Amino acid sequence: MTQNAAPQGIRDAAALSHDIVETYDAVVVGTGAGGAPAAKELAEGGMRVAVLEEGGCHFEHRDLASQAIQRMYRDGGITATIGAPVIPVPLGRCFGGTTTVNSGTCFRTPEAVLARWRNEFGLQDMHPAAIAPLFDRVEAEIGVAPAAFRVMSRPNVLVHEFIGGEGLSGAPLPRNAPGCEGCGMCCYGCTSGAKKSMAVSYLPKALCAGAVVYVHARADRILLDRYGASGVRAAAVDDTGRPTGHTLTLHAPRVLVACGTLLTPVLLKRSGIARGNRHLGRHLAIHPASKVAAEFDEEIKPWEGIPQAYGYDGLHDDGIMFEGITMPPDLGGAANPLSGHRLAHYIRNYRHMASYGFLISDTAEGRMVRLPLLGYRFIYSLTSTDVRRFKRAFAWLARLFLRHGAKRAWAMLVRRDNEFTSLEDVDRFERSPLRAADIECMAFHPLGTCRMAATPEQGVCGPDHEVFGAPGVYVCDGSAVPTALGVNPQETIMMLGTRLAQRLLGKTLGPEAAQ
Amino acid sequence: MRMDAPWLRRLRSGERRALGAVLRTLVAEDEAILSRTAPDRVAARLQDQLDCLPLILVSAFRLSLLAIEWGPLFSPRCLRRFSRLPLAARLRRLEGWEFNRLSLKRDLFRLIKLTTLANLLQEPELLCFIGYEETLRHRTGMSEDTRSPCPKGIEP
Repeated sequence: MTQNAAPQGIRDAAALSHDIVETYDAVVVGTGAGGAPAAKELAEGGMRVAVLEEGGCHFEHRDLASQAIQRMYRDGGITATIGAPVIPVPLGRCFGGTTTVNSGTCFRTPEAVLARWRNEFGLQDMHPAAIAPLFDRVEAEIGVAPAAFRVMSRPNVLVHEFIGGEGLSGAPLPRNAPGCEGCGMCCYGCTSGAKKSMAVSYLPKALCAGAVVYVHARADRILLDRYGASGVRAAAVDDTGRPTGHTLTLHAPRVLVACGTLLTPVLLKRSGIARGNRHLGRHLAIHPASKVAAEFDEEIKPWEGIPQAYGYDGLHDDGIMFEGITMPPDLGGAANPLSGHRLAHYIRNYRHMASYGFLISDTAEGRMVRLPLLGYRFIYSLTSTDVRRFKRAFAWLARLFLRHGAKRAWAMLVRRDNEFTSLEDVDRFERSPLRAADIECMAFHPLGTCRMAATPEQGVCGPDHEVFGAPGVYVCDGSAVPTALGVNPQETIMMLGTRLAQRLLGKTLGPEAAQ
Repeated sequence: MRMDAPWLRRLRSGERRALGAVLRTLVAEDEAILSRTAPDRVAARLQDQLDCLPLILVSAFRLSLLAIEWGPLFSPRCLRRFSRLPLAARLRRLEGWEFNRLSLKRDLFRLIKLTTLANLLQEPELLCFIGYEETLRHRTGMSEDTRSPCPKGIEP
C-alpha cells in the first residue's frame, strides 16, 4: 500500500475566495527540514501553530523526472548563483520543501564543524553531547539507517567493489528511507513513499496536533509592532507562483522563518529586519558538486536503485566527499557537457553508463545582491582552493573507473578535453590549468546567509535563533547554519528546528528524547 | 510588477524551426534517436515548460534561439540561417556557443540544451529504446493495483 496519501487538514490558499485574517501563537514560514520539525514540536507542545508553504501538495508521483522537476522545484529547477561558474542550486517548492525532492542522505553535524562553531561563533551549546538527544529524536522520527546494498544503484555497488579492491573502504550512506524499494526517484518524488520527507513524517504529526498548514501561500512580509514580531502577511498563489489576488494575514508573537537559505534573507530584507546587519545575505556556502560518468561493457541501468547510497570519505580532510549520483535517462541524457556525435553515443548507450559524484566543502562565500529585472540574487564564485579540489576529485574518480574496466570516462567540464580514455589522459588533465568557468557543477546544500552567532557583529541571529534586533523573529533553516558542513545538511537543519521549538516551549531534551 | 502576457512566452514558427534544427544538431542527426521522436510533441512539451518558467528565463531562451538561428547570416563564410546549414557547419556553430570564452554565451547554450534535450528525452519510444521501459511502467502505473513491481526491489 502506498505511503503517499495526503494528510487531512491542509488548506489550499489558491482556493480562497476572500482574504484571511487569523491569530496564532506561532507562525512557521516553510515546510522544509527546519520548519516542519519546529511546527510539529510546537503543536505537540500545546501552541496554536500556522504553517505557510508557497508550493502545493504533491503525493502521487507518476511522472518522469524532468516533469516532476517542473511540478515540484522552484522556477522549474532553474535557480542558480551567478558567478564563475553559474551554479544551479535546485530548490524544492512544495509541501515538505526540498526534503520532498532530495536524496535522503542524513548526517549529524561533524564534530570538527561543531568545534569551529563554538570557537569562532561563540555557540557554546553546540557540543556533541548537548545536541545528541536532538539528533536522536530526529533520527527516530525519520528512520535513519544505512542504505541496503540490495537496493543501491549499480554504480554505487561498483564503486564499493572498486575501492575495496584497492584496499580502501567507504560505507553505505545513512538515509531516511526505511523500506526503500530502490525506485531511484528520490529527487523527483519518492514513488513508494518510503523516503521520510517532511511531507510524510513531521507535517502529518503537526496536523494531528492541531497545526494549520496553508499551501500556495507565499510569505511576503513579516509584520512587526513596537514589541517585535506580530505576524506574517502572505499572498495566495497558484502552482506557478502567480498571485491569485487574495492575502493571508496571520498574527502571532512568534515568527519562525524557514524558507531556505536563498529565500529567508530576502524575506528578512523586504520586511526591514536585521537592517544594517552586515552579515544578512552573506557567507553563502553551497557545497558545489559534480560527477564523473563512465562507459562500461556491462549493462549498468543506472536508473535502477538508490542514486545516492554509498559514500567514500578518504579525501574528506581535503574537503572532498564522494557520494553516488545517478539520474534517469530523461535527465542524465541532458545534464552532461556533451553534444553532437558524443552526446548521441551517450544517449544511445545510457544503459551502459555509470556515474559517481562528489561534493566540495567550499571555501568560497557568496552574497545577496539586488539586480535590475532579476531582483535578489546570489553572487558566488569558486576560489582557487575549490577549483583545486574539483580537479583532484575529477582525477580520482576518472582513474578509479579507468583502472576497473571503463572504456572511457567523462568529467563534467565544459571543454573539449573532458573525455578520458587512458590514465595518461587523466595525468595530462591534472597538469593542465583549470578555470572555475570550465567546471559544470550543481549545488544542493545552500547554507549560511543568516548565520547564528553569539553577537550581531558575527551573525544575524543569536544562539537561541532569534534575529538580533527583532524580538520574536527566529530563523531555523539552512541560512542559520554558520558554515559549510562538508556533509549533507538536512539532519543538521532538522536538529536546529527541533532545538528552536524546544527552547520556545521551555524544554531541555535529555536522553529519553528519542522515545 | 511582472509582465506575464502569454504572448511573450509563445514560440513563433521561426523559433520552432530553429528549435528543431538545434535539437537535430545536438544529437548530430542520429537516426536511432530522431526516428523515435516526434518533433511536434517535443516542441509542445517545451512550450508548456516555457509557459511556467520566469519570464526572464523565457526571454533569455528565445533571444538565444534567435541569435543561434540568425547569427550565421552575419558570418562571411555562412550567409545562411542556422537551420539551413549542413550538419557539420551547425555542429561547429553550436560548439562555438558551448565553448565560448564568454560565460554568458556558454550559460545560455546550457539553458537551451538542457530544456530542449530534457523534453526530447521524454519521448516514450526513445526511453524504451534506451532500456527504461520497465521502470517507466512502474513509475507511471495507473493505480496501485496495476502498478508493476519496482524493478530493483524484486526479490530473487
